[in-house]
Amino acid sequence: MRVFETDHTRRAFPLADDHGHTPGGASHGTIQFGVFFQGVNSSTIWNTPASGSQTDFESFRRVAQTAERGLFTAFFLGEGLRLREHLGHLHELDVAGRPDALTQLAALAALTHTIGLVATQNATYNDPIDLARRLQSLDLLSDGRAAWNVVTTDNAWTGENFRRGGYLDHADRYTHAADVIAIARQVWDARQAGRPAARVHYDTKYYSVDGVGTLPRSRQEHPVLFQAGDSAEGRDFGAANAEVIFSAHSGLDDALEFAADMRRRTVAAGRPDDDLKIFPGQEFIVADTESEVADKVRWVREHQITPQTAIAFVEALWGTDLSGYDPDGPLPATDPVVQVTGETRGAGFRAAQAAQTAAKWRALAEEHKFSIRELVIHLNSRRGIAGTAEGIADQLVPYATQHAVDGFNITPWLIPSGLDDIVNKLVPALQERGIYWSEYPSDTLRGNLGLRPPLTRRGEPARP
Amino acid sequence: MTASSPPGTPGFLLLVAIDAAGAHPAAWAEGRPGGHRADEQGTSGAVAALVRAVRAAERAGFTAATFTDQLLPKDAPGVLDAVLRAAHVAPLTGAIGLIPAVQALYAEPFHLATQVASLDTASHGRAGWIVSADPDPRLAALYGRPALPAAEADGELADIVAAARRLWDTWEDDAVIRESATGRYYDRTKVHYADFVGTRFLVKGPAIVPRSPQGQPVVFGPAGTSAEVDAVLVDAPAAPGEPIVAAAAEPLARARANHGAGVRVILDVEVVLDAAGVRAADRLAALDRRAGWAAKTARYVGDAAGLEALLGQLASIADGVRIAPAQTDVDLEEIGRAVLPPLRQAGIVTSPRAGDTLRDSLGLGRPESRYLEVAR
Repeated sequence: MRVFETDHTRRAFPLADDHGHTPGGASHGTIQFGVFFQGVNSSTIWNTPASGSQTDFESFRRVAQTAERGLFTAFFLGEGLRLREHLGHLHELDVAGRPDALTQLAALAALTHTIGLVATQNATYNDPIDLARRLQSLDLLSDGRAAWNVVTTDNAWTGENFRRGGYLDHADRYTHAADVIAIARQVWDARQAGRPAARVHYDTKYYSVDGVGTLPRSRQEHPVLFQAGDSAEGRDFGAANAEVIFSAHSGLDDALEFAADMRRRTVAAGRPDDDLKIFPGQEFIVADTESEVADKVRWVREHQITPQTAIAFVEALWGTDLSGYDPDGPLPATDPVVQVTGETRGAGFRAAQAAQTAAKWRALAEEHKFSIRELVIHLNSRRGIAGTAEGIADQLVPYATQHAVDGFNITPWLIPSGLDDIVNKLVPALQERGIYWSEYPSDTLRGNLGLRPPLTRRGEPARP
Repeated sequence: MTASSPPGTPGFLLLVAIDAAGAHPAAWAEGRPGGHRADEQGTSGAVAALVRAVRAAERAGFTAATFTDQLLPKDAPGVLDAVLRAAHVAPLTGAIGLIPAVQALYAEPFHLATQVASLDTASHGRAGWIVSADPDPRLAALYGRPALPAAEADGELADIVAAARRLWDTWEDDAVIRESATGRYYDRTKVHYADFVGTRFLVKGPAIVPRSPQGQPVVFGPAGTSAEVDAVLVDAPAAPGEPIVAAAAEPLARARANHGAGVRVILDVEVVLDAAGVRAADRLAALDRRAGWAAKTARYVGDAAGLEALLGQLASIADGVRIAPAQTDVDLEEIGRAVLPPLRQAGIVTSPRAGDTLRDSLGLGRPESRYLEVAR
């Protein structure tokens, strides 16, 4: 076994014992929370008096500090690579305009102490050694709280903003991303105590790079790796490489099925089944009383899906101007003019089979007597749990006791106050039920997630 | 580019390079514990030392702090990414300009523009950007790209700056309208494609971030660059025994002539001061015994009064200086204690006030978006 010296003195995360069991993190039967400051899409309500700025630093500060007050595990930022378009024009109906994730998180690291800071960074339009160094810098600035959400954008439309253009085939996106992760790990592992730098050389199909690791490792050794791919290939990639999965499977049955599948794949990848933590995206609508729940849900959904947004949503599938249609009327009788939806409206619209999907929507609308807007609200409400704080807490108990998830990554529908009810009301209700911690167990992200050391740094003797 | 607010007349600009233990290669070895020793680099102690240094520079009244980029190894610990260091101190400060240096040559122009604009927003308009184009082929190897011939480096730098400047203008200041009647969050007629075509790359745009508080963060470059810069940094090594003012006169005049009246001309000066009862020359000798320090530019070694006098003289031939302290904690403290107060009192230096943008401090107006006229 190669013995590395560690160049920090404190390990801030638990080490696996001989059986691979890791103490720490959330204890069994509990859930954790992350917050996703989204900055795109129609889920953030921008048109009410309580809607604050989407881009002022103050909004980010307030959300991050509120999340930390609520003992959230992670603050999560997406990454924008190209402003979204709709029918050939910039898509002006949704919230847009996002800061560089790593830059913003480096600033927020100065105002927070314990919460993890997750930066979405694509593996395609970043350069591996530069990216690895920036991630490691955030990890050191935050003293062991950084994470990298690895995404694999590959389309040529996005590539028009970058030197290499649309250079990567969709089919190669995961083998390419695995290469980028391997380079990043070499950069992070390169430095050894007492030496200023170590050479990194990597020569594969995608990269021939010669670099150096000049920085020490943080108290959590490496930034934690998040991943969100959901195809079979994406799941295998996550099982082999990631430490946290940001999933789309938030319903209880769906979450259980997904968790079983991911744990099976994780074991198949040669890892213990608890090596991977699962955090579905989630939305909570907290009402004061039971009688207010239905009204509040309707209010939220109608503000998320304006009449214009409803028409635009259908247009994105039909591929043509439908502005003449009444949002409170039925779907167009004509068929979509495109075969497959494109890349310009983001991941949610990507590569849908237009005719098939339109047929499904028509059937759904007929069954429920939905107008266009009602249908679009229905389609965008599959995620989300509504109720009083006590009621939502009751609904979350089985997620914890059945270990359907390790936590939820919450998208607030209002910025910057959207976490207030969750932190002030829902968190205490969860704590009363014994499914949410009452203090952080660690002060690194890896420690709070209960993760083992990074995959390339296991089996090494702990050093004082 | 038209200015929407008239440029002012700034005082003499005083910038300081905040780079780990200091500009002297042996600063690490001589560093006091508390973040300035080599074995502490990258630890929370070193991050705390960075924050302490920038806050000390702000309290002292410096116009701005600069942060060096270092992608290749030197005989010293590596430094954290410069943009991220600047961003980290942004919410902990309120007046001082924050100017990271970036080795831009092989990086993605779109990302660089986004990073600097994000720093500008997080700092409420205090961001600058030192662009540099080191032709070292090892930098190209880092990115896995073919090395650029040295003769083409400056042209590439000019393209990168031009692309970033266009991207920064793509969102007009009032593009976000939040108009319930039409359901529009922003007005797409006020957001523009950059359609930048450079020699080696294209950038479609628009920027992914709205226009930042300064509109155009301040761009610093090396003297003589063909890139569109707001300020240049001038090196002026002096011959043995030659006074700094004499050595600097010609390079400063040349920079002024090359770059025109609107561009701020800033002289780089290395500084070692008497401190804690030890003469500057003795401090330097002690440091030099551990590692040699070749002068990159003018170097002042002496007492605080002499530095004050030198800066007063330089004020008539330069728009400002950037001081590279031999040891960050020691020399910065002395400058703040004994050099800046008399310069401020004499009205030579005007320190930034809380809420000032870096453009305010430099007397540069806030430019309107270049797309404004096109659109109207």
